Amino acid sequence: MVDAPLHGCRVLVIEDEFLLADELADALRDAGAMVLGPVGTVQHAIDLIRAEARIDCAVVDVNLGGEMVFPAAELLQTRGIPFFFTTGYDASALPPSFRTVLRCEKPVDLRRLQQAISAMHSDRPEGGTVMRVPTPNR
Amino acid sequence: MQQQVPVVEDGIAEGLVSGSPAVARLRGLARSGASGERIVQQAEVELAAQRESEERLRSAVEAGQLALWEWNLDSGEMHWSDENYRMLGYPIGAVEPNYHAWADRLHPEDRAGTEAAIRAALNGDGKYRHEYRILRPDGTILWTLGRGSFSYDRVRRPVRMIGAMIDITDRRNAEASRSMLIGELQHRVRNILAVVRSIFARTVEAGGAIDDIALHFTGRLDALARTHVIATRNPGATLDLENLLREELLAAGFASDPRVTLYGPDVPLDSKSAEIIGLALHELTTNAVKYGALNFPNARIEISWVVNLRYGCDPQLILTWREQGVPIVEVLPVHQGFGSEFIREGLPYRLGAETELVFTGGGARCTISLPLPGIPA
Repeated sequence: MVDAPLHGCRVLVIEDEFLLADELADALRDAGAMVLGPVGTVQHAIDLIRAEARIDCAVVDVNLGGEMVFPAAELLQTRGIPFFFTTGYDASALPPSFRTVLRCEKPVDLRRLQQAISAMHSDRPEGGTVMRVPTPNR
Repeated sequence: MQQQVPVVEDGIAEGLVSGSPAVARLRGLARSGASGERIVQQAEVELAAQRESEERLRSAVEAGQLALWEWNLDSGEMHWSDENYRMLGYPIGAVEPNYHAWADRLHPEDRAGTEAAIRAALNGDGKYRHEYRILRPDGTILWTLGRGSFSYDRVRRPVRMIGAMIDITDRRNAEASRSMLIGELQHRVRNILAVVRSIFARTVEAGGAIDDIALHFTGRLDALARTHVIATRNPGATLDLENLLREELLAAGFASDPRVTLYGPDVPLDSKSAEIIGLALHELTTNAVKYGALNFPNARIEISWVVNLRYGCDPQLILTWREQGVPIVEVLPVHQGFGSEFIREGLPYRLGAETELVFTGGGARCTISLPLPGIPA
């Protein structure tokens, strides 16, 4: 599994910028992941999260063409799906309930992102639904 | 002056603050055996001076829009200046000034923090300073800075608090919009860096001689820069589609080439659409220069666009790029390249556009249908 550290991992990609979404998706597929999306609007993200039975983790851009992604991120939290923010914003610019979510600063270091997802993925108990979530105190 | 100034037996005039220098002077006169009339005269002088001083203070307080309060902790009674009533959204004198009448106006989110700040001052050094919001009955929100200090008796029992409050709404709003701008700037700068990195990676991936790679990359960077310069000039700025096209042709060195015709109505594009469309037009132009109509003397490019108004939907821009007279060549690199991928997939993804790009006998033909939500139908 050295060549495909994310083998079998279903990763949702939320990013509005086509070039970045495509780049992220390519890097994740290269690492063996199954990419869900990418989607570039809050509504598409919500629809996809509702429709997919299994999402192992998500890579989430904060600002989607001027629209904040938080409703979709809340849905991920509700479903216990771990995720990263990819963003240029500081933690202080995020609502309090998202300040403890891990952030990958843009431009995203793709190799480090792969490693981070891999670490998150291996935390997941085999066949289980309980995951370690970067959950803030609400 | 026949005004009656009541003089009590020891010569103190009511209305003058007991213990003040004025009273001390009156007492001195009484003790020196001055006549009642003399004392009354002096009391009138002192009263006039005191009124003048009070008036000066009142004017300054009004001019400075200071809301003053004084709180007697034994009786619970308060005194508010007119401005205090106004800031709290009460008609002047309409309520009995007390702690609850003030606390009722605190913004629910700030109430606990503000009361805690008062308690901390009470139990600490007696100095209170706190910024909080007032929510008035008409729904307006006022940011205020309150400052005050407690007085204590000999056994350190708090007896009085006196203080002032000023309206700092403008400052807080300016701070909020400044930090929002900084956030927005961070977001944009980092995003554009990521986009530039991605364009670079893709340009290199496509391969070719290093000079070609460099040329392609700077061309794409320049196309991006042209739209950004205008978009960052002001946030709501729009770019006219025809100008965008002319700028692109100018940059490629074909500013008024007789082979190129442009026609269509004015179409203001928002900065995001302009950036994406600008990059797509750059790819089409570059392809035309290298392999298409701008590489052959007898070929032509017709670029035309219309805006269709549709009932119940956003207006739709349909742009057609049609090359004619290009001999069929074997290699059409744009097929697999960055440009064709960007037009076929990037425009639908980012702008919800429908695109068609084909290379037929005669040259490239591209159609872009794009919803224009910003334009009133």
